[in-house]
Amino acid sequence: MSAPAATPGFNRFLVPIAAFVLIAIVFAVGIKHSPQVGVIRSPLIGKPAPSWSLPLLSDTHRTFGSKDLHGHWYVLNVWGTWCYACRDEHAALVAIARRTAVPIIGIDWRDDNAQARDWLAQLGNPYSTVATDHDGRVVIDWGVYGAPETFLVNPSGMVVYKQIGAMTPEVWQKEFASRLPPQLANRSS
Amino acid sequence: MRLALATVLGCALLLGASARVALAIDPAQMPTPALEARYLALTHQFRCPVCQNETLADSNEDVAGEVRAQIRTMLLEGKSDAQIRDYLVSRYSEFILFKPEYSLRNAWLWLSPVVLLIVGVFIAMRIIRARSALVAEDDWSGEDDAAGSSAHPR
Repeated sequence: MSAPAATPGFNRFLVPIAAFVLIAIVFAVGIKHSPQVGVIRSPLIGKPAPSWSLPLLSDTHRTFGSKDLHGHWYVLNVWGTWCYACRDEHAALVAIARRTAVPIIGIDWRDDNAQARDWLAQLGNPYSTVATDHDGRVVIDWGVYGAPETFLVNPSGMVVYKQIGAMTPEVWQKEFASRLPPQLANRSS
Repeated sequence: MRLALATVLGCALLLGASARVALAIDPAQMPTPALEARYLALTHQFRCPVCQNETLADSNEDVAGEVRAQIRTMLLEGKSDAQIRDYLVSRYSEFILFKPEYSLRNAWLWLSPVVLLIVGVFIAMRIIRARSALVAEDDWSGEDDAAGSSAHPR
């Protein structure tokens, strides 16, 4: 007599249950690591930030870029007036800018300069400098896929952290301030 | 008559709209047919960063258009397909590749179908063996079937 017939109950349930457990594990891992917006970790973290140079929003004849920032910590925030989450995070950025000594550089993405200026006049300007990227050339080079995204770059030009989605005071404290030298993270006044 | 006119107008509108969509997705023209072919091949290889299952070539998203523009620029600069691929992976991670790389990290992905096939064949063989064993026994005990049929419930 063959083994399956000797232990029918055991065999009948073991294989389906094992298959179920296996598939459940695969799906659990799949769901947990599913590449949704906000889940992809930037491959740029720990790598040199892309070098960039863009026209200033305040004076489009002048350019500003990575060479002006070399040797300094800086925060790079990608935004646009068309981006709803940027409006949500704006107050947080304004509050953070008051507290920190780190320059927050804004990259105004795929936007209209006049609208961008209006936006800053109305909602406050947290940026030490705003550069404009109309065709997304630099933004794509930074691996951005949706605004807002915020990077932290150290003095040797390495990308230290990337926040996908709106900045909040909590994210700032936990992910940005903690990585910065204390005297920069919170301005002593 | 009025109906015919309306139909013709409707068709013309639809055609016009679809032509505009096609243009909107990719108005780019490469200077040579060879570059055009590479451009088309590359834009079909990569995923649009914000849409899960669309290639760069098929996507209407602004970001996809910007990545296509980057590919176009790199092609015009004389970059190889591999350089462009490495560049996009370095910015957007392997997520942007529709076809995952053959790497140790992805081994489970490439090997799991083979493993599943082997497991399936193993299970199928066991079932077939068990069934044929039953059939053989039925043949052997054919005469006292009426008395002992409950010994092997199906």
